[in-house]
Amino acid sequence: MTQTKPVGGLEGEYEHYEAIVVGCGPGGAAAAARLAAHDIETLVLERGTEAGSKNVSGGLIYAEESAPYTIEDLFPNFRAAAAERPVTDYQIHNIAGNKVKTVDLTDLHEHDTEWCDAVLRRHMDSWLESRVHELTSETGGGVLTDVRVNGLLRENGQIVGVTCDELDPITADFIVAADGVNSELARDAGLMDWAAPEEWFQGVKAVVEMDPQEINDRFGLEPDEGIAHLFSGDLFEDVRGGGFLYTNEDTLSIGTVFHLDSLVAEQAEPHELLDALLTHPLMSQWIGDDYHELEYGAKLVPDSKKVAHREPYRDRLVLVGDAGGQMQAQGPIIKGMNHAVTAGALAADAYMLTRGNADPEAPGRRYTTMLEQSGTMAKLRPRRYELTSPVGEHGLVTRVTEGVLDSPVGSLAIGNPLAKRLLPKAYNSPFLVGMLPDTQTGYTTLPAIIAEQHGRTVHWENEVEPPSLEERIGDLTYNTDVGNPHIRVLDNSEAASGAAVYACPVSAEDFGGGCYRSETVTTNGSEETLVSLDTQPCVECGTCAIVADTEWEHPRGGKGVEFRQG
Amino acid sequence: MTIDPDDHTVEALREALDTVEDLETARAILEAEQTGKDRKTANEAIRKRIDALEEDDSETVAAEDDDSAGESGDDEDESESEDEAEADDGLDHPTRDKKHVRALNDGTYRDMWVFCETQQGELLDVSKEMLGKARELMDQYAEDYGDEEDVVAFLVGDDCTDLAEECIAYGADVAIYHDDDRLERFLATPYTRISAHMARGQGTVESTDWREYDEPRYTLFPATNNGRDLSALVQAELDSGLASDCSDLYIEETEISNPVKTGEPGVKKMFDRVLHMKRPDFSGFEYSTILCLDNPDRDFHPQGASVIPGTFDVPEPDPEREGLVVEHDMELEDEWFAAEVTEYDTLEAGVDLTGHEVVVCLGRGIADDPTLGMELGLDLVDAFEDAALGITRGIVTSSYQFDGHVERYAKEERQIGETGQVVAPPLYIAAGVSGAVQHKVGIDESDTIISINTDPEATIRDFSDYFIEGDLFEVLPKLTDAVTSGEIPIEAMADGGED
Ligand SMILES: Cc1cc2nc3c(=O)[nH]c(=O)nc-3n(C[C@H](O)[C@H](O)[C@H](O)COP(=O)(O)OP(=O)(O)OC[C@H]3O[C@@H](n4cnc5c(N)ncnc54)[C@H](O)[C@@H]3O)c2cc1C
Ligand SMILES: Cc1cc2nc3c(=O)[nH]c(=O)nc-3n(C[C@H](O)[C@H](O)[C@H](O)COP(=O)(O)OP(=O)(O)OC[C@H]3O[C@@H](n4cnc5c(N)ncnc54)[C@H](O)[C@@H]3O)c2cc1C
Ligand code: SF4
Repeated sequence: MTQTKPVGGLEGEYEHYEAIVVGCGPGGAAAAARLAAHDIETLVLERGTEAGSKNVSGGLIYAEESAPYTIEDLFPNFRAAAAERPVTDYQIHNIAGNKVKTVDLTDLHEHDTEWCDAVLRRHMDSWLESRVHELTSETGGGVLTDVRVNGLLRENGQIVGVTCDELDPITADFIVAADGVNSELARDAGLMDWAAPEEWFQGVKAVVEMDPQEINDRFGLEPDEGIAHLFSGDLFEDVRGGGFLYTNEDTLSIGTVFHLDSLVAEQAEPHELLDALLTHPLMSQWIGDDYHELEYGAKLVPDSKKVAHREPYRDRLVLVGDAGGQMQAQGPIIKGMNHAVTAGALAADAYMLTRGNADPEAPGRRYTTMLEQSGTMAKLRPRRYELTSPVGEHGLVTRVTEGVLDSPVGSLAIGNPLAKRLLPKAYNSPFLVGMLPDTQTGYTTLPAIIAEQHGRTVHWENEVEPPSLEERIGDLTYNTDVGNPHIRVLDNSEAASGAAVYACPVSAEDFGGGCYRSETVTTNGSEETLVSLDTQPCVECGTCAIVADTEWEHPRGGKGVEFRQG
Repeated sequence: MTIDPDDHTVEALREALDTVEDLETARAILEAEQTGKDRKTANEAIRKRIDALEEDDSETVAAEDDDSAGESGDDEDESESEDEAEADDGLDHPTRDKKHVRALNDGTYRDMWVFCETQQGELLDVSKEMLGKARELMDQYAEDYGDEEDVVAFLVGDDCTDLAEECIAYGADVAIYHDDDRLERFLATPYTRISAHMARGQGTVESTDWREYDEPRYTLFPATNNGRDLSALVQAELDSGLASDCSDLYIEETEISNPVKTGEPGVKKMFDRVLHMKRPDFSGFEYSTILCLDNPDRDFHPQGASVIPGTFDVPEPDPEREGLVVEHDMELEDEWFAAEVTEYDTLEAGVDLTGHEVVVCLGRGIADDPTLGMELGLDLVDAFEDAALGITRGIVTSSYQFDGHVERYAKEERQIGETGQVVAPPLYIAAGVSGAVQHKVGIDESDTIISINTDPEATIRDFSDYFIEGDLFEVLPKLTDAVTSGEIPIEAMADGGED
């Protein structure tokens, strides 16, 4: 398949490709397609048994007017072949108990939007994979699935290739880490650490089966229309975050996205938060008693405001998409896939432009410049956020604003007729939404007050009975790597790793069938609470890599959970 | 008839190509270009034509799909991989710079040889699998070509006579073996020397007069650790090629236009009785079919393959089958035994929970006192005549601190379920087991299922014949007493809990 370059050192020793792309999600697919378009021999390595089998997303992929690339530019016919319904309507529901205030967000949603489609990742990514394989085979490469890259190959301290569980090391002139959140390559390169919960969200999602006609009826849609509903307020107690419901062809994607630090602080059970959304009276108009959940999944989501790497490269390695923290939470709107696409394509272009330059970091530097100049970095790390957050997130300020809001004066301000007119405006301003500090104020208090003051009360019966965690795990497909756990708990004391028992989306207090379980153990007469781990039910979300003291890797290629929906 | 691309500019070649209507010719031109000027643009133009022809000829494409990596050649070094099947073992072209002192030209070849690996006095399953496949291939061969050729099993070890007989039962016509005390375990040098000696038909008249040929036509080896080692060494020793790790085999003729094989460019040559050896590509992209073909002035025989264990089915042995068992005769030189096996280890066979009358399984219900729970479970096991103790994955992965004497029962080797063992005893007793689906699949086929659980809602109740709602720390001793005293009051105990 490849020629071995007649040079000394490791490059002569191992198989060599001009470019290696690790991961075949939207970021990797875009990078590989662009590289192939430049006639560059490109090998794509994907740990899933098929691209998409490891991936979970909420599911709205945006094509931004201001972006240099959209996915349809790179993969013609993407929308028709790989996407679900387009989003033609967009609403947010602020919830306080049974009171709900709905604000139409279509303006914000349409700002800078050429189009936006709901997607399911297994279908989307596997389609991308076959396109990428076609394109890259033409230039002497291809996509290899079931291969997990486990680290970087270095020579004299310089990154020159990758090492894999399944194959011999491979060298390359250019390496694109598009391996998503919890990127083992970014960690190995020292570009990202997995230390701070406040830098991440955790997304949890259920895919629910529903006949297309029923979707049209229940949501008031034409067959080629789709809707996005967002949820915020006290539905989730004090945990910062919100929920979403998107319509697909014949399924619904319903999920929640929470700040990880807040989940930990509130000791919240992610599956219970999802259930709170599923069983809220408001939902009963959309999902009935014949609730049938096809798949439960979860994944961490980086918060670009905090972690988007400003110089996402080292030596010949560049980071693209979630691997580089390029996941933008623009208030309620989540944009990760589109930025991964942009970044992947720009990285490929940067390599092309600097091809032949002897300095291995030339492509990385160029890529960084291109991220800046295309305005991508400004979206990922908005300046105004950096100005407001130090004040806005400061505990004292939060307490003061919360205090004001709780006081009759504050509530009055929001409750007054003027505010009522301004409210949709404020929500629909990308600028204001970008400025909302990440505190409870934005997520819980404000929406709850809005709902209390302006909301109508819903009295519908919700008859949905979400499956138990045991049933959800039972419905998932696993290819267990027996005897080869991919996560090890380094410190099994409750203090070090206890948070995983509730924060892990497939574990819970008093549930023996999850990954993490707390156990009371008597040793020499003294009682102690310890944490034990079974990685078999793991959905590879990455949470415990951050909230527990673990040695965390992805499973070997093709092993572990296999999502059918994503 | 054909076009020599070297005579054309790329432009002219494009036009000339349009007149080519036949895929093989187009491929021959590509090969000629690659061995000749190897111009990128010319290669592209020819490939385009090949693609177009392939599309026209969709039937051929379907039929050749699997072979595409090996034959249609969409990369420069493809042509190489075809004409040098011997390079395909991943080694560094072991025979390339050798003087082919022993390589034959125009030799005679017959029979399919199968190396039957043994372990602890038994044939490995893969040895039987290969014998079954070889039988099938050679029966078909007789039908196709009208020549009756044999399946020859060859064995090396310290006590192979009976095993050689067994090989006959599994489909061999001839079984040839070499016994020596020093050969109990695999040693690369003597095993290689003996195998090559056998294959060349060297040795005493008595041990070789059953055959009249230079070398085997085909040889099969198991793709086990030792088999991989041996296959490469023996095939190199015989100056032939090897397709390693094959997953399918068939015998068919093939038409080749590669000049290395045909002797002159642009000419096609038929090779018949070719062993097609299918194997997953290095990359795993697709399958390649490896052919090991003679060159005009040098033979590549035996056509050799190693076979991935489990690829073929173990055939039914036929003890009535008749065949020839031959003891091979050869002086073994001491220096071949310079490498000595000083130590070896049999990997734990683990615990086999199947085949017992009763299986008692403990789950996380023992959490309050894991050691006591385990003891109570073992007491019940002892009370039965033939019972075994199993556990759930929940216990395997727990942080329970068991006392030393029961600790060994908490290991993975006793786990029952999807990722553990599957049991189907007449009686299965689960204590403190919730009945997760992954556990259920491991016990589903049991005749009678009794479960003990404090939670009347526990899933296991749904598939239990008898459900005892209660604390296992109380129920287990009672059950043990009942079994010991000879009365199993299951009906009585199940009162109140029975479904
Ligand atoms: C619940 C939820 C809702 C979301 N909603 C939205 C939304 O509505 N819109 C939006 O745009 N974004 C959304 N996101 C974020 C979005 O999913 C990500 O930003 C996006 O998938 C990032 O793309 P990527 O290509 O960088 O990485 P990924 O899509 O994660 O792809 C990485 C790929 O690399 C592979 N891989 C990983 N490690 C290795 C390895 N070591 N070796 C080989 N292969 C490897 C993986 O299998 C995977 O295929 C959401 C995320 C979640 C969890
Ligand atoms: C891919 C995958 C593969 C798996 N493979 C396997 C497998 O091969 N085998 C396997 O077993 N599991 C397997 N599991 C795990 C499985 O899902 C369950 O987690 C596991 O079987 C639960 O073990 P348990 O019943 O001991 O624990 P739990 O589910 O915690 O159940 C304990 C039960 O004990 C009861 N109990 C508590 N106290 C008492 C008492 N004093 N007396 C009586 N009852 C009491 C409780 O009510 C509860 O029902 C797998 C999981 C996955 C995801
Ligand atoms: S074990 Fe860790 S990575 Fe796996 S699902 Fe739980 S939190 Fe996520």
